[in-house]
Amino acid sequence: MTHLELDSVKKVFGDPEKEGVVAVNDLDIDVPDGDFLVLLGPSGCGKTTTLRMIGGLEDPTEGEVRFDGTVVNDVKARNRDVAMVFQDFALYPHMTVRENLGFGLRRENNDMTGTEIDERVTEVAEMLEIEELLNNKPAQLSGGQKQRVALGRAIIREPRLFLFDEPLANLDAKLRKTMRTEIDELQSEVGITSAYVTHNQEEAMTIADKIAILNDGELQQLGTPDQVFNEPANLFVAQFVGSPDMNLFQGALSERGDSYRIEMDAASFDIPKRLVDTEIDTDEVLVGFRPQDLYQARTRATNGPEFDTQVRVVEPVGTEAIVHGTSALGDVTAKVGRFHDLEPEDQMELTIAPEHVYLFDPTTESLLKGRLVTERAEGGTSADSVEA
Amino acid sequence: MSYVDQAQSSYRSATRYIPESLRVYLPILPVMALVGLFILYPIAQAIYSSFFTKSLLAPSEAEFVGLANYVEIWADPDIHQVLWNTFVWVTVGSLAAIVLGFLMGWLLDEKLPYTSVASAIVLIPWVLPRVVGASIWQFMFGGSQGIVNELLVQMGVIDEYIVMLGANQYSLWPPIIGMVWRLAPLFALLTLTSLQGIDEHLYEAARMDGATPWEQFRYITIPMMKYNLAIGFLLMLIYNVRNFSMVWVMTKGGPGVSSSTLPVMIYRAAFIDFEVGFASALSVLLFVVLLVFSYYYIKFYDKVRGDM
Amino acid sequence: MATDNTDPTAEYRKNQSWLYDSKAGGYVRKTAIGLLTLVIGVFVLFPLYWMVVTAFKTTSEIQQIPPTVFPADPSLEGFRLVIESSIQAGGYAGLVSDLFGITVTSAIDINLLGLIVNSLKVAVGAGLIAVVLGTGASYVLSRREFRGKNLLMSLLLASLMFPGTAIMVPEWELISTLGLFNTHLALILIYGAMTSPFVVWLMKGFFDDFPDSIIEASQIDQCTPFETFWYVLVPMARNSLIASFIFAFLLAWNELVFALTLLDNSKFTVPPGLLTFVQGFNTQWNVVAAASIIVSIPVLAGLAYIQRYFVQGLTGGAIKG
Repeated sequence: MTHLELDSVKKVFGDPEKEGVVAVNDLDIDVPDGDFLVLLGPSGCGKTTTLRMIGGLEDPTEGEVRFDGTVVNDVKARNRDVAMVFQDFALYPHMTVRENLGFGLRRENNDMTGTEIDERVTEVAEMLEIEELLNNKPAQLSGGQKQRVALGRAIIREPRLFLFDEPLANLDAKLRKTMRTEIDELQSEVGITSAYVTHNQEEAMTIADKIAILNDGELQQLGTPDQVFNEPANLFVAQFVGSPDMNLFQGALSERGDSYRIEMDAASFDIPKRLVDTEIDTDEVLVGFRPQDLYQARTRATNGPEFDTQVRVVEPVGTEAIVHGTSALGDVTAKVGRFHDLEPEDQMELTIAPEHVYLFDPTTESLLKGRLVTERAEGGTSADSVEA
Repeated sequence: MSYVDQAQSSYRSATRYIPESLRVYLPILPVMALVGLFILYPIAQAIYSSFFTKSLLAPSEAEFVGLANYVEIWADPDIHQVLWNTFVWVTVGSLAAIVLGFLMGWLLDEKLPYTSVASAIVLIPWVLPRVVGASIWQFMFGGSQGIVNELLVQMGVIDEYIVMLGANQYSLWPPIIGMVWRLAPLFALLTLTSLQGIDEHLYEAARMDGATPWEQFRYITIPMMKYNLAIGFLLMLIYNVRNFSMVWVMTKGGPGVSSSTLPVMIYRAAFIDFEVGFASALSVLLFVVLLVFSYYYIKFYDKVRGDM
Repeated sequence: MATDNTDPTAEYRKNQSWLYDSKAGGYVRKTAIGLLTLVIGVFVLFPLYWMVVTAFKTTSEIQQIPPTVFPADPSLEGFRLVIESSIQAGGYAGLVSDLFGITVTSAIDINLLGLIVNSLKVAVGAGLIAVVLGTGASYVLSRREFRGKNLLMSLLLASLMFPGTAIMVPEWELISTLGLFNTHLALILIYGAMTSPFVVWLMKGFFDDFPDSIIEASQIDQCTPFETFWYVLVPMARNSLIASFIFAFLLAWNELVFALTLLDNSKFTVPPGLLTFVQGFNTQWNVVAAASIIVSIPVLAGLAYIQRYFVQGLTGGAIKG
């Protein structure tokens, strides 16, 4: 049970005085006891380096790593009592599953006898349903089985922390979803503080208590999955989280009574000031629409902008479809229902509710207005009543 | 028609009468013919010749003598010294090369900078022409100008220069030292390659599991490379037991037979005493040893291929 | 809980090792590694150094007791004697005196140039045989399954172990029977036989790792197996082929036993030629060292190229980098 803190952690590879590469810069992260932290970002963003610094596999150049308030910078990996699941599982190929699971317990300075270790191994194997594989070598196991052994090797020692380095990246899509759920369940069950690295935003959203989004070694945002989706700290987070990608357009902003007026090339609309938390003092804004928030105007009316779009491609995904089109605003992607009568070249009218619109400062790229969930029903009904 | 098409069509017409199932052997045939004639056939020839007395000068006047050559080996006054010397070569020489080579490979792996340049330099003793390497050591150990003598005097091990290559009690060792110098780099490279082949993540997993560096070495490094080490060990045995140049250049096996090994004795028997039958019987002895080593070499080889 | 309040991380320090976790242990480790490196470094490098300095000493300095560690009077005498002797023995003395007006008379007798020419002939011949025959065989052994394949591979591997001293006597008989005694062709064939298994194993390793998809792509493009081999595989295998050739070349360049037993003085390659000179009376070690350096140059040049393939070729691909 550990409260993990990273305090102004910096990692420079190579010579810091000369041409060192800054992998992680001035990182502050606080993970309360029992929380599940996901480090999310594109490749090369420093997320794995961060994880390795927590585990003790890399030494921070500056800053402190603390477990329960104790600085552990000088504690070697083998003494930190931390367990890690690697992307390639890193099972010891010359040992049986039983030996793989027991290896850590045997290294530890505990008072366990050989039989006690064996019992513990069996117990963990039963929990992960791999007890019939105990005498196999890793080469004989399937990807999912290897993954379970790797998980078993981590939980058997009841460590202070779990570290996961893209543990699902080497599995096929279906297995990835099952294992994701299993890891989530397992972690809630044992309640051990965990840090999990991935570049897959969907994985991060489903599994995390808190997500830390990194880019170029800098922390972009630390927040719950809801926060990073609805209130992304900046344009990078908004574009990285959520799929398909957010639509972004240029817009001009002016104040009009208790509303802000947004003028775009082909559409303009008002956003009531009560929907905006920050004081906006720029004329130019970047306007963001999530494809999920766009509706066909014929199915649902809003008091937001409406714009004509010519359909280019329709990609059905079950009950909905992702539609790529061209509008006067520019290229648009929308995720819509009622798509069966849509063909390429067709015209459709898209609309979005003002509370769902994101606004960003075009120079600082920071968020001016996020997506409001609670307002949605209210805004929706009022729009309906007006238009109908 | 391009030359490839021509080659192909002439290959086709040449092989028209050969059943499809046998055509697969055709590309292997030249190699097997060459190896069969110049390596495998002589082995059989040696076994055959070992039952005859014949002179190198008049090989056609051979006389069948049964096992007489083997009896003669047993009765030979020099054979015990030679076999003992060969045994020392194979055991002491191989072990020294392995220990030294392993340490070299281990140092090259991560303890020293510029691994690839350093390992190329380390390899020089192995790739140098055998005669060149052996000559250097002969010069260093030999006669009145030998630097080794001067070194030992400086270190206070001896008071004045001693004769090493020409003295019965010392002559066995300088060629072994030279051979260790030649073979250790080879084992070092095998070690280095094996070490580099071990996935770094295994060490990281072991560190997370609480293993000390010694435990990582004991439980990860050694088990992961044990078959590679076995292969390297057998290579050392094979190279040592069949070595000729290092002894021949440095001491010619002398004085007397004090530094002779089996290959030197074979050479003397055949090309100085001209006794082909006797030399063949000695060669058969060497085959048996090499056969045992090769058997294990191939066995470990299959293990490595099978396991990975 | 930890009793030592001065160190907040004390509870993490259960699994300690003096050698790795204490300052003193660190110094001991560094010192031991440093000393080990030094001792091994001297053992490996000193003989090489000694060869080089000896080559640059004068004949009189060679005979000094105790020997000098640095040449007191660096001289190219050794190299000059080697070259002069070669010119004289090769019968070019008259030519040189006509062209340059230098009279060449040599006090020593080693025709290094002649030896090198002989060695080149043998080594290039053996290298070509091994690469051409070995590559074809390795392709089939890698890509096709057939009866006796494992036996053949084991036979080839075992045949790497025997050559040299174990078969020098029957080899002599064979070469005499074939009427090839004292010909370079005999050595070319024997060295070709010794190195082609080597090439088979090295190239088989290459073909084994070769992605099937590229071969399949060439089949889709309507290549016959022969065309696939010639237009797709061989160009991609260029580096491995060059390495194979160098391996075979070096073996032939360095081999002593067969060259010594199957040739006369007149046809000697470098190793037996050098041996005869070393074992002659009044060996002039500066000349030996100079000659050694000259004949080692191709080896060192080759080493730079094949270093990557070395272990794989040597162990028949059992150990890969």
